[in-house]
Amino acid sequence: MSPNRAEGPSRPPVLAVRDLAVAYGGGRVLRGVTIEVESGSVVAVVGASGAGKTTLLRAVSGLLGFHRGRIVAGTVELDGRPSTGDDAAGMVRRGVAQVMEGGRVFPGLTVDENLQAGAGRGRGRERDREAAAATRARVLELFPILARRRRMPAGRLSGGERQMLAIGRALMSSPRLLLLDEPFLGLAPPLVEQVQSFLAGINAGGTTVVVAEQRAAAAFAVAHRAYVLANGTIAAEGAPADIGGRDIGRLYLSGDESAPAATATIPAAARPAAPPAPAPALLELARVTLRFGSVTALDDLSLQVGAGEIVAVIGPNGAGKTSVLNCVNQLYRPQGGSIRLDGAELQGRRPWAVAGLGVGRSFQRPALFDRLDVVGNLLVGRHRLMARGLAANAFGLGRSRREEADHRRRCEEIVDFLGLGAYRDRPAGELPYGVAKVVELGRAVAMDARLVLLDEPSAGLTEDETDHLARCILSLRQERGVTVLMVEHHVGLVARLADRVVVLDSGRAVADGPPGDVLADPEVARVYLGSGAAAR
Amino acid sequence: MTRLAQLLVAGVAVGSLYGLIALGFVVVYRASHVFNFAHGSFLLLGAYLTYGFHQQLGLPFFPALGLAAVAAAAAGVAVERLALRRMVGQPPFAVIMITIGVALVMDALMVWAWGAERLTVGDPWGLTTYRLGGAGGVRVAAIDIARLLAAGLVLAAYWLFCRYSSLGVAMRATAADQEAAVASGIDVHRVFAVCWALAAAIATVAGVLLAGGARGVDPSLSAVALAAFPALVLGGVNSPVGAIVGGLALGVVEVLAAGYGPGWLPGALGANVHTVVPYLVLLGVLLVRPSGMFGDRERARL
Repeated sequence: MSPNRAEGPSRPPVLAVRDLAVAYGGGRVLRGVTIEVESGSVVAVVGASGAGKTTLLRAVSGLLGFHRGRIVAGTVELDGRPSTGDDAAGMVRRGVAQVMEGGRVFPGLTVDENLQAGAGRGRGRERDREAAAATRARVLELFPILARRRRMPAGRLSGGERQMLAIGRALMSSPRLLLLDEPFLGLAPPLVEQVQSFLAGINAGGTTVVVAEQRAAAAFAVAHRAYVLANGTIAAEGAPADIGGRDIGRLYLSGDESAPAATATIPAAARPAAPPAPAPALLELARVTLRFGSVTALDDLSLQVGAGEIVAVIGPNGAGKTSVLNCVNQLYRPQGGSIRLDGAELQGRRPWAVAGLGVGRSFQRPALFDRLDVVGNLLVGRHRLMARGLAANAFGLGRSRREEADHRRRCEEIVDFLGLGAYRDRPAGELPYGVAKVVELGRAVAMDARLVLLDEPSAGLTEDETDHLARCILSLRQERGVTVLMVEHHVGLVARLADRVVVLDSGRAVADGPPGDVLADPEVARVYLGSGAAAR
Repeated sequence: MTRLAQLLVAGVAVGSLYGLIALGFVVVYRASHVFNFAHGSFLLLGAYLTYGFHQQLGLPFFPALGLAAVAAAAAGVAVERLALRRMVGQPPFAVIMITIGVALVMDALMVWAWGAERLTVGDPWGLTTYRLGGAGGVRVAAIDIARLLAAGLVLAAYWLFCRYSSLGVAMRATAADQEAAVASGIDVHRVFAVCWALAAAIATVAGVLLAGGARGVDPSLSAVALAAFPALVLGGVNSPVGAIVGGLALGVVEVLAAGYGPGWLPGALGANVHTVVPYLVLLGVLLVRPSGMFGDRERARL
């Protein structure tokens, strides 16, 4: 299985990434990433969700622009020639094809048409057409199931078939370098093996392959060389067998396997005093089931959050983490189960009515009002508390003016509380990313929320910013008694903040307990790394 | 009964035109998400060019129409290249303002070239009418038949192009998922250019059929595109079939409202009720189906 190096050591690598740094808006998601991919090899890039795997592939394939991302430092070279920042169509012409996460097929087009679209330029000349037909025959030979579904709209294919079609579509451009983003995501074990054997076959045909994958075991089984990404930097590299033998769970989670267990790094005195157990449940999800068509996002999920508790939900991509938050504030309507806040049923209420009951929410990417200043954004959060009517406000009558001043004062308090004083009057659109995330937290709290839902509060933040955010969350709980339910993948932060951790996999809770116990649970490592990892 | 049949015929004819105009909007919107307010100016350009090739240069009508469509398509590509390509990724509002600017420039240039008088396109249908079912039967104008046929043929041709040509497949792929299309090596700029060319050619057909018969062509023709707007929203801005069906529905509703308008309403309101009814229908449909009859629903993911 060693890569073919018959053509001599002087040959430059197919792909060389050097000291790459990438940012979206203000948040820097990759820092100093260096990777070399030898011709004819299979390279695995593994890491937890949010580690920067997709961003790395986008930077190579020229798709960063679609996500308002940009390369801020470093270079990308193909065959020793610079290609930093080239556009995607140009990269396809140079023999680089990408299979995007989730098998992004064109749902309204048939299988045949999807393959035709992959053949690219659409010039329709006779010779091109013959070449395309020959390539298509090879692809259909590789995926016989697709050959039987050629006239079926791709939207009706199963998840595994979509993934095959997405790979097949990429192969239609006869790439020398094939990039795959999470090709095993959401696939059952037999399908994982099938896709693995396809990748081995494609590689045997001379195509160099880069697999970005969360399920390390699945990717290592086909790779010659592996890189582990953690929080935007390369945490380890080497032969898959070597890396697989190390404590991959620790590498994933903190980027540093030499660090002692995450919980132990926090001195006992600094650990948040857990509320006296058993706390009365403020939020209670009982047997919640959420389906999108035939896909079950949450499967009979039950979980409780006690008053004053900080609970973190972790799990691999697609496990249903954000769906839990969306169900609580009723942006999604679960098909079954009950969701109670302090005994009151939330199911069937409008999202703003849920907010009115004291449920604040932050989003993965800050959704602030760009033109309002920081205080203005917080005032929006207090909208539901403003009692005066429209007429009274319009005429600026005395009581209304007093009320406004009162709300403003409360918001100023929060600004000071969160250490945002320096940014008080700046429009939110101009704030650095890390500060915007804190403002987002402030807005969720400004409504005098009893419960705040935080979606990946640390995503895109530096270590210092994460640290500041963590202190903000802790003091919010301590001094305002706020209860927190958060989705988070930064396990260091989870270990530091959470009283309890719930691990989701395929919409089910597979573990629930104190962070120290849960993070050490081999079952949790299995969930993150994919089947087979625990056996290593 | 004859009166109803007569009104239906008129409604279908007007509706076919609305549908053709709306189809031109859809072709551009579907692939590039640009709402093209210059589309009315392309109607006018197509009609003037046909007039120029046919009446001024003396070519036979149908070759003149074909040449006009090709020339308008070239103008469409030029607008896309010069004005819109650099706007990719800009806010939709800015792009809309650009298309309005393009419309103003085109209208001014055409007044400069052809003047403001009403000109006769010289179409072969003229004022010919047929009477179906003997004396007392339904009268059908030849140009109305041409309008309905053209709407059907253009829709069918567009459908065949989308289904069977590789460029058409690339267009649908781009419409479905632009990022995945780019990642598949599809040249989306080329796709956009083709869409503008197609839209301009369709606008030429619509413009000539609009100006044909008794009406003639003058600068006010470009404003008619706005009258097709409810058809677009009714059918769904990203559905070609929706454009034609929405156009027909709009035409029929409008003509029926005019024909059976309640005489008891006071003065101007009674006489103009047909201009209001389409919007009432539109409002009703949008309350039930916010993306129109055939439109795809778009949702933001949180």
